[in-house]
Amino acid sequence: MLNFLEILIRGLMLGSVYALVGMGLTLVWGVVGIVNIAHGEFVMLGAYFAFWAFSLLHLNPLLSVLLSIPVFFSLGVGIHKKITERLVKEHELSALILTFGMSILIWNLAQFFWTNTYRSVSYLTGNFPLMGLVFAKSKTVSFGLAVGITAGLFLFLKYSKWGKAIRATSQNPEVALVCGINTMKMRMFTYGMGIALAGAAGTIISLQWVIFPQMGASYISKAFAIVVLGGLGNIHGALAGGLIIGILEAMVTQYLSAKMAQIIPSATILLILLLKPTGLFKK
Amino acid sequence: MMERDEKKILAVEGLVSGYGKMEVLHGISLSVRRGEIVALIGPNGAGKSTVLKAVAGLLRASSGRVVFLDEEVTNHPTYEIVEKGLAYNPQGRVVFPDMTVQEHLDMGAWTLRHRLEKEKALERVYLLFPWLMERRKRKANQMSGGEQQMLSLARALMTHPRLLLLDEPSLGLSPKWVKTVFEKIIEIKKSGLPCLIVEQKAAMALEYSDYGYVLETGKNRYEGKGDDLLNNPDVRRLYLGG
Repeated sequence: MLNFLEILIRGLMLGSVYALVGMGLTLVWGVVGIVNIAHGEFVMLGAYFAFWAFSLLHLNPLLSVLLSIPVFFSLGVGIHKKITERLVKEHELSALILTFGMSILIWNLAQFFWTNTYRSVSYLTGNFPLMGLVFAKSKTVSFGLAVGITAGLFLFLKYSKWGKAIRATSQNPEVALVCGINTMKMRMFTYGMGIALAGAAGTIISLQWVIFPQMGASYISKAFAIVVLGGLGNIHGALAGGLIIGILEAMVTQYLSAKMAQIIPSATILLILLLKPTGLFKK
Repeated sequence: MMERDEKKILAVEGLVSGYGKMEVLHGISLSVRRGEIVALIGPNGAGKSTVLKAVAGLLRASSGRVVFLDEEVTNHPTYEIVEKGLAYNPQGRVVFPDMTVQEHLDMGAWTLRHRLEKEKALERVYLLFPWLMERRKRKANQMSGGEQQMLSLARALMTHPRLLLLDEPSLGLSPKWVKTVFEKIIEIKKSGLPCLIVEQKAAMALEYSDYGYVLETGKNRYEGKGDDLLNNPDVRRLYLGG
């Protein structure tokens, strides 16, 4: 029983980081209307960001997490301004193809410049015991960071003027326009937020797992499962979806095998699309 | 036409617009003067809603001019025209379903820079729609169709508008709500805000209007004072059902 509780908590911790990736994807999807296939690559870039900052500049990885938010936000705003905004009025397929190309380009560049060598940030090692349970320090800190960022995101969307305008743009773009909201600006800002969430998730991930150029693929598949679980564009649903995927992964890894855990994202997408295509949660 | 040139709030001249390559308006002209309610009527597909969308900058005009408060705003971005004083209540489901009444009014006040301005606007809107006050925390998707229409109208009025565009305010509402909507429009007019209304219930709209335009397949067909149009045998036969 103790073991079960430990695995459940481990799953929650894992899921909190997955949720960051998923919330970024669903936010951009809901507000900008673009399915960003390259989302996982920004997770990878975030991880490398923390790695290089740590190994070259000896920057504390926790600081990298904070720094990654403005850095990746600006990157996202720039990309949207120059590239993806022109896709907003086009057929959905155009965005799929373009971001798919972007994904391939980014991980190939990463491979070219940084090689296929597996990297890791060995910053927080060891465990600490808590009420008879044992947790890895890196995972516990990651969980704390993920919870903090999620709380910040929710407060921003619920209470700030811009957060409300972003929700309005997502729920009814035409009415948002006639409120006098510059919806193009909102899309740009949201795209930046989505990329910032991916980048920050990447820096957090670097604390626990190996870093390599193709790592984005596994995160985009999880993010898709999360978005499908939570309902398209539903940010609360994405949080729940992330936690569910994390717990499932921890459970399957423990009781079946790590290999089996790899099919969770695709199995989830398949099942949800068959049984409840609108996602598990009401918007 | 000459006498209508004075005190114009909105002047539309030879407007050509549509959706993509499909041209819907083939040169529409109309105007709204200070303190007036102007009705835009005509059969389905005449392009009534399209006129409003083009005026608000939601659709591109390929030719013609839109002059709002003596300034040309043709093809300006919507947020600029709204900031200038245009309030627009679009047709149909025009709320943010998952947002509260208070949040709708906040969004309506987006262009207001000062807190005091916003408080004044809120006061004005609550005076017009007192029942919204106690429903501040309610989400739009928990309200009836009529309530949503009122909320949408309230939202549109939050911007200190100089002109109100109303697209089919009675669409899909019960007779009781239709009456309430028109009563509110009269109240709004009395407060000095001119109004351009597109309405399927043509006879009712003309009754409440100072002036009316009849459109047909994207062109001007008739125009005149509300009563004159109501009594015009051709208009009666063709558009008002006899």
